[in-house]
Amino acid sequence: MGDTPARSALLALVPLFLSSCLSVTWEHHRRHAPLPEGALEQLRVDRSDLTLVLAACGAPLRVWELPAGETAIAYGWYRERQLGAQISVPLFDRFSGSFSFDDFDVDLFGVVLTFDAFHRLRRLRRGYLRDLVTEPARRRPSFVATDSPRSSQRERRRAGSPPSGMVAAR
Amino acid sequence: MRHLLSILLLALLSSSCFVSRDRVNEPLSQPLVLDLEPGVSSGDDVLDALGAPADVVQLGRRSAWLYLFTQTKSAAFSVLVLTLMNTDTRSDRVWVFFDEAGTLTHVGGSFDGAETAYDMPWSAVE
Repeated sequence: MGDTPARSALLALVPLFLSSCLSVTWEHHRRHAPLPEGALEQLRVDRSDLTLVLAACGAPLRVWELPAGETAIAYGWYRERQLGAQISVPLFDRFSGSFSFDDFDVDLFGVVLTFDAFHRLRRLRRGYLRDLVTEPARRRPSFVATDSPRSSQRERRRAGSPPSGMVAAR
Repeated sequence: MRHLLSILLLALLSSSCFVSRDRVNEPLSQPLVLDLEPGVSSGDDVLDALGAPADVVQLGRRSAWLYLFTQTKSAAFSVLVLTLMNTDTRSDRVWVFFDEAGTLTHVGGSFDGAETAYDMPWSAVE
């Protein structure tokens, strides 16, 4: 008989625990590896070139074109460890959430390096890539005239197929 | 004692766990990448060695190709209201850069995809 209050309390708590009202989460998420230690210290703006950067830092996450013949490359990584608790009370209809794993949608920290047309390092910036990378992830290709020997050969092979004398470029 | 056993049984019956692995493309071969010679290899040589790239970026009249393998491993354990979760994503990446004539000028590679690990939040995954 003495156990009745405790049993009642337990029975009352079980539905609360089993409902999805209360959740405690401990999570660790990691995406990509940071740059090797000392890699950035080897680099010198206006002196280092793309060969040295690739040797020191490895392959970037992203490469894109900038105006005036410049090229930018980005390295990024993400690591988060968090402990959280959540209490939710559904008052209205549920909503659908979505989570994207696109590289630049998450809080990737990293560096963006900019090179001139001769592959010489011109700028090095650190921070969150979402702040550093202002260009869209992909741009629609456009057509520009070209007269490079290789593309001219390609175009000759494609003789008659429009648009003649053009190649896709950003 | 009976209550303790009941609680333990309830916790056991209420627990769940999962592990999952998500792979995009195939792992890249480092020896094949090392065989590529800047100044010598052409786009055709790269295609023969590595196949079709995952992405092509136009850089004015030059270009860069991306080869990418990504692996994600997730592990989670849940009991009653507590959920432990870990995800680890790493990749093999190779960027090859070409000049206007289509000759390879630069190669950069990172090969971390195989190091992806299942773990729990308290683990020190490096």
